Amino acid sequence: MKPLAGIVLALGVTGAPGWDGARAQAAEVISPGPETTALVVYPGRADGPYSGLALIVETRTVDLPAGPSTIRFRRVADTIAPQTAEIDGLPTPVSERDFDYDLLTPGSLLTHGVDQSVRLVRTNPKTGAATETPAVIRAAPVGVLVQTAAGVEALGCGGAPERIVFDAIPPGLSDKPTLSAHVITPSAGRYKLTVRYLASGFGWRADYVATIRPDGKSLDLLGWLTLQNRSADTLADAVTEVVAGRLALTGEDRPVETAPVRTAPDCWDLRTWAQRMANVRGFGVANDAYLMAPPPAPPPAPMMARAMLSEAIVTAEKRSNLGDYKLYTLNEPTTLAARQTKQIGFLRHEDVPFDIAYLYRVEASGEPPGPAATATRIELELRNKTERGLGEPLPAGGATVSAPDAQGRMLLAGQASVRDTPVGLPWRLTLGWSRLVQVTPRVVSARPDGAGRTASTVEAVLSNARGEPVTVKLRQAAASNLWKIVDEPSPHTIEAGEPQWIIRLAAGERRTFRYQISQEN
Amino acid sequence: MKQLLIAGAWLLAAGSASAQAAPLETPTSTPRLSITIYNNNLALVEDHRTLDVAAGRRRLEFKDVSAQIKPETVAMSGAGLTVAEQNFDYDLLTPEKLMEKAVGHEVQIVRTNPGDGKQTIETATVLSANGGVVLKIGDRIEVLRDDGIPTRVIFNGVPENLRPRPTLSVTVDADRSGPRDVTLSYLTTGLSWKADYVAVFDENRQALDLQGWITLTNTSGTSFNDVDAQLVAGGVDNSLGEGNPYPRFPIRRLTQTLAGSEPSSPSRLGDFYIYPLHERTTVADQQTKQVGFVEAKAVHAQKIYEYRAEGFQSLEQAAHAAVALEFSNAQAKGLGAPMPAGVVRVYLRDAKGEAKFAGEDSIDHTPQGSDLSLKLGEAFDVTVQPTLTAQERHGASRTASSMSYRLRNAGAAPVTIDLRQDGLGLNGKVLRESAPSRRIDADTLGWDVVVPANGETVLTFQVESGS
Repeated sequence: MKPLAGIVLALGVTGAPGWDGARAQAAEVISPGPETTALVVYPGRADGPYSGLALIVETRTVDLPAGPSTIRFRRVADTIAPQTAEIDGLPTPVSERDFDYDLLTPGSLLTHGVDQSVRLVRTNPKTGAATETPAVIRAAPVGVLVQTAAGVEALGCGGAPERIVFDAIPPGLSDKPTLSAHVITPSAGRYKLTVRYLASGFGWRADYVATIRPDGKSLDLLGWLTLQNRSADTLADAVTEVVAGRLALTGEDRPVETAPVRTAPDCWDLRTWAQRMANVRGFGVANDAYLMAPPPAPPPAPMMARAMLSEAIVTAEKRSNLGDYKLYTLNEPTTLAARQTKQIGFLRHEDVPFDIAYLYRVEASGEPPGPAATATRIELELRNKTERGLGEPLPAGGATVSAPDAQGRMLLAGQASVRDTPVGLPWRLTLGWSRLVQVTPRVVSARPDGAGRTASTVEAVLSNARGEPVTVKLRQAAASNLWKIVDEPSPHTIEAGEPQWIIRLAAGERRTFRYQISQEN
Repeated sequence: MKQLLIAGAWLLAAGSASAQAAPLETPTSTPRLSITIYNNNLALVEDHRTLDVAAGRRRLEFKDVSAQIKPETVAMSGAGLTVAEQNFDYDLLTPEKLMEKAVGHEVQIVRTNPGDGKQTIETATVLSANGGVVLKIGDRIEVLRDDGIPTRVIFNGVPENLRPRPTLSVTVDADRSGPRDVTLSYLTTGLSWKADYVAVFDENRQALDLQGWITLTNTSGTSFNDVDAQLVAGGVDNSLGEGNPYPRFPIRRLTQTLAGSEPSSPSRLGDFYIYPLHERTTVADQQTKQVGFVEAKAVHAQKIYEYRAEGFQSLEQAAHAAVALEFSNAQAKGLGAPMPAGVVRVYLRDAKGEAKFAGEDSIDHTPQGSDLSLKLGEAFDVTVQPTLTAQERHGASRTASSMSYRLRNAGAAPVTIDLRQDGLGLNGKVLRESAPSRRIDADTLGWDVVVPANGETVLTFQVESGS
């Protein structure tokens, strides 16, 4: 273990004042803002300024004098998680850094002004003459009392205009939460710093738009990175990257919740006789008007994304690995404005073959009374392989599938959410229900099969009203894992722990599929 | 809290007679503060100062104590001083209170004529301040500002027991006059600390650069200037008549896989580590302060892939393997320091060598010499798809389960996955397996499965359990 504060310890040895002493003489160096900004957005939704996560990397240049100085970093993101801040590029390590959020508000100005000298300015409402009286604040901020040579008075309770004038801002109050670092520099010079921190209010996901071609056998796939900024900061000309994959998070990378000191007039009962009679509330009531922010605009529907293609700033990305995650770097710096949703194309594949299957699951506890034709689920499956037209990582998000009708108009076929899909895995989209391919299941017999077991014979009538052959995936739900297929027309596979048969039906075919399953009671 | 208020009010009422009698002294000497901060929003403040106290009964008022002081924990000591009583007064000074206290007293009334702006000053006696102020001016009885004409009220002064902020006062009997050292100690809330670590992992060198910061947060409403601060790592029970009467047991954290047994340098108090800050510091109100306390380069660390299967079950879609980082804080491995509880944020270098955030995990207080395993996230390219291929009864009370794990790797390098299967239950026995397992514990089997680059490996086994 190496103690970090080596410089500070050395000072102690030479008899110099301690750190606080050094800070008293520390030069204040203001870094007004970042020169360049880079943004790495992590996957997830940003519902507001307190959810979602991004890494912000800034470069700043500061001129530091020799000896102790305090660098104040202005214009960091409002949603910074201060404990995550890192500052690189200094000649000696930062021994201490602060994040101050005692904000300058009318209330904090008064609170810090208690027992301090101020000036009380009164304006005669008739003549307009202003008189200035030296005063000391005796109580604040809920109700303000000031002491003058005449005595003690309550501010704003007399009914005539009066105000307090301060000579200076009390130390420690700032307009925005401020990050600062205390350093001791051996020699004066210009230093280029990298400031890195996590901030909330940012998120991204992938949105895929799949358009089925008129032949019905293949589709065109467009992928968009949908970037969200729900913070109040605009990141201008930022080198922007997104990370795909799931990170473990603690939920502690949240901005500090500042509680500005509120001030409220507080007087004795000020109602006039007329007001008392009318039972009108007087002006001694705190009247906090909360500024309600309008709800954020919803992200543009992926269907509209096609139209936005021509407006896309960046049309292709560079993809690399970050450990076991995927990192997408936008081609050029981009500006992500406050409360903006931005979509950037990152993937384009044409003529991708796909399979359609109709899925039906026979319930374990038997079907509702009476045989009834039931709709099947339409499942679209792509294989994420080069020889099948894809073969690249597909980050999580949502997919919208559209297909042309007989007149060539595009119709929405369905929407589905998708998970992170590496190369080689199937990419399945469940689109909706089919009334053209249906299943009518029926339990035709149930008899004991040894101790505590029942063998049920199921007859499923499969019907295809489409004018082309279809594939049906018929799955039998299992009450427990102790099932066994006794009899079947074709061998089953196991999907999600349950038996499944794949059955091809010709155009217009109706077929009865009969199997027997043995299960524990 | 309510109980506390009542107790405080009682103290105030009982003490007022003698307290008012004792002459008031407001110490102005600058205190030398030392603070011991605990993790759970609690701090012990020791306030040392030299006070010049005259002989006899004196009331000392301390205006600069923490605004979140727990008044029942105040203790004061000093040579030749006997504490008669302690009061914590929070009868706050507001215009309305001042008017109530002025009942029966004289005030000045300044009226501004709305016609010509001329001011007239009169002396009035406040008769009542209940829903409107009733005044006696000469032989007239009036209600203040009943006509809405601007009227200011000037009070002669502020009553002694009304204060702009809660104030601690201690009444003492001093045996002699003269300066002496006095120590005031109390507990306060609003101060807490935790650790934050930045770990930059270089996968090629299997090395971790670790930097630890102590993060102090002050929301107490008071700034502590030039204090000697120390931090205690460990939970201290502070359920003094409030909260849950049942002590909480420490949560079992999965990050510490081997508890350390190396004694280390930070001083200890009982079984708690104490971290003194090297220099006196100022902890301002509404501030988060970070002080570096440990830095280590090239600590040996390795990345592992793991998959934990709970019970025998099938998944419809493949799950991603978890990525974990394993290292030790033993002396021999390059770190050699205990790690107070906090969050470890792990950064990885991208192709350009820039550090990018890659996941975080929280750790408990970790003694030196512990093995740690931090979960970073999930591997995009490494997936595991479990299928329960068969389950059947073996005899009356035993069950055999056959599992198939399809492990896929879409990455360009082979990976080894630490696969764990739990749920063996009673008398678990392996009937067959495609690769030899090791028994982690009675309930759990483990395999190190190698999956080639752009390839897959299928692991199958059958286990039997039951009585």
